[in-house]
Amino acid sequence: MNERFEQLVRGIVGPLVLGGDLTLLRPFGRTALTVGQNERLLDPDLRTNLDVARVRRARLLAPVDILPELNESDWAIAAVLNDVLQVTNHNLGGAFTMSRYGQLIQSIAHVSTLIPAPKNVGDALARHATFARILELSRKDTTVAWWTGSARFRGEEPPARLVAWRNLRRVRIDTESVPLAQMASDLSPVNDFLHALTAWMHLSPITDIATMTREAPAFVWSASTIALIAVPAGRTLAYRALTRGKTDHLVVTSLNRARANVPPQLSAQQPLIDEFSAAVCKAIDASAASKSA
Amino acid sequence: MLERVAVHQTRLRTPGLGLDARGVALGGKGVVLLPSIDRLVAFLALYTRQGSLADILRSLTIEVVRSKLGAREVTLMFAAETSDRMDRIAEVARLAGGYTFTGTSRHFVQYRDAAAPFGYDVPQISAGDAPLWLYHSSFSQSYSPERKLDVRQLILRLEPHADPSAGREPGERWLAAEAGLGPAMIHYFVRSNVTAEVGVAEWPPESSFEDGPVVRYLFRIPTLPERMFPLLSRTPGLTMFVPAAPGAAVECGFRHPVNLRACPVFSETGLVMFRGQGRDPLEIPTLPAFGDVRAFARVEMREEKPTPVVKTLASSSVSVSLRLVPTVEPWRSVTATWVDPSDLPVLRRIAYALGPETMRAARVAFTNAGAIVRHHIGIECIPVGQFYRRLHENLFVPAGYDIVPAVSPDVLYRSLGAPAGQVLFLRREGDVVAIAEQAFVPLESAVLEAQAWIAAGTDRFVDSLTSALATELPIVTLGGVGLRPLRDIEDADARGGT
Repeated sequence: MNERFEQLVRGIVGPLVLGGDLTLLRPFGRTALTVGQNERLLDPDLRTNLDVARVRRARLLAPVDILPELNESDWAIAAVLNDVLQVTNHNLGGAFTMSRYGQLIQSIAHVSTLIPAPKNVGDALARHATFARILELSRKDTTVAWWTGSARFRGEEPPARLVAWRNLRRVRIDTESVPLAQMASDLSPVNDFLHALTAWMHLSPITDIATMTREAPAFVWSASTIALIAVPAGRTLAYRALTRGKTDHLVVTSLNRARANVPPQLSAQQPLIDEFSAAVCKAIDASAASKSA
Repeated sequence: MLERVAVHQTRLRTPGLGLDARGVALGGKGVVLLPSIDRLVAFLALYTRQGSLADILRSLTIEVVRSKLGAREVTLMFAAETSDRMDRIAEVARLAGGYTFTGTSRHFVQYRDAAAPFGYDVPQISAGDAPLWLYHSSFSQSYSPERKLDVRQLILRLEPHADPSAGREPGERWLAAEAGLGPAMIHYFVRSNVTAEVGVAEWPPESSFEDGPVVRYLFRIPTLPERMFPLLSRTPGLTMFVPAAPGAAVECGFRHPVNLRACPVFSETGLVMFRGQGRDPLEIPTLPAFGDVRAFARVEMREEKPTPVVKTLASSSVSVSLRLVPTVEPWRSVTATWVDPSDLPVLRRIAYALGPETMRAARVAFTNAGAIVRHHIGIECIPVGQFYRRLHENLFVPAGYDIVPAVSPDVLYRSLGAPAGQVLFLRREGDVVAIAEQAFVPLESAVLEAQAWIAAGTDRFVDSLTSALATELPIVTLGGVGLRPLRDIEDADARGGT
């Protein structure tokens, strides 16, 4: 098995689907497109656990019992996710190598355009089953304060020497959970990171729609999300994904905001977007009325 | 570029290429070049729909070849013999997306087409030690063989297509029954008066963890009554096959992509049964010994046992013992079946297929000798166990047997002296078994196991919920990225720049 592929499985895909610590890898760049070529998970336990967790996630939206194994595109998306997360890594660039962040963000935007969109609704559901937990990602930042100073550690455990002799040195440890959208807030330009994250979200249209009410990056319609709602089965899944949460009013707000900010190159699809948004809003209103009655 | 062969041309440059009686350029062999294995399957499917593969099978060689550029393609090489055969093959190959060539040893030139009715010749032979050179009007390419493909193995690997109409026509059928269902099927066929032969086939264990071989009963049924189709095609453990060729059969409801009758690759002494739904075919190298199912019917009587009745006979010159004799009379009032303990799993499976009326009306009693099922209308809907017919309200005798002497049922019942509330079964072994009427309970309450239930408002999938709640949250940990962390990106940029 390719060493990089195995690292991707153990460090990114496994923890993302099953939970645990994501260990970031060296950025992939264009090699993301080939890292999963002719590769297959060999560990039967991990494969079974991934299958069970993905089917459990997919069954929240559709009554499926089997999902196809992760294909070349899925591995490429996972590799690009690694690159996106590396943008938040303060170890990537130093005082004289800050340009690496911009270079990496450009690479993410470019590679994201080379990964094919889902071929059908089932493919989109399989992608969503793998990457649905993207917005659950968080980072644990630790601040260690002692009697003469303090230090902050981003996504790392503080060294043992700093937390030794706690009482004598009056060591205080504060931990903070940082959500994905804010991971790059004190490092690289936030907008660039959010643009890279948006480009990545477009690769999994159901995930993109299911997380429409997120604070950042704001949801915008893309070719893949429009292609999804253009077919009845995809539209049903999108509707279920939107109405699963308890945030109906946020869905309406997000839909209206996205409807008003359709990218110019997709303006021809404006009637379809309007019609879908209106149908969802109407269904949410009807549901609210029946609940109040 | 190739040269067209002209009318009355006598000399050709391609070695091994000559002119046949019609003036067509023809070598000793023909070659069909196909781009992939699925095109090869399409070619075989098309060819076998029109004619038999037998005429070219003896000389047929299928190989995966590799060009100098590394592309893999498939070649079929066969004896050309006549231009008529080559014409037919060329048409099928064109339909399947392949090219046809003719030649004798290493150099093969494109076979004739509409642009060159007498075929093609090569202006100059390419030098090289490649084992196969193909000259086409649009390309010339050398190939080296990579591996051979066996037609039989290829056909075995092809999965039959679902076709609900397949197997509906009357005719001979093969039936493969799992070991547990074999005896029940034998009795079912005997009771239903269906002519069939049965054999027992063995396959090697599917894994080293299994102790013994896999055993299945194999039935050959010359004419299967149409009413049995649903039972035999839907019961788990039974698989019905339609003979598709000598030595080959395909599961009912499926159709093999290749016309097997046109591919004489299977031995007539064995049998290959193609199964649908992605299951491997069942191969029997040599058919097992077959015997008529009637030979397995338990029709013999045991020796008479001394009973009090017999003792009474000894003191009377007119009394005779009660006997059961087989009869050819049509069966009437068959309203009970005695299911042996070994057949109880079959009864349990059949319970899933029974209709609501049968479930409600049937009554069952369980004893240490098996289960007795009674149905006042008829018991044929439960095809398991030994059938009994009702002779008297509370007296049953085996179906297919009469009692001798032919006393009236009332007299017989009185002579047995059973108390009220007892149902008597006169068994083939010669004994009489009494079962209390209270022991019979409705079948619908007997077959249903206790069902797990939960109160409304709680989560139905407790285990799923527990495991879902135990799922950890994904947490990003950061660390060093080593020297030149962006080397993959920079290398790609450098390659893109050059």
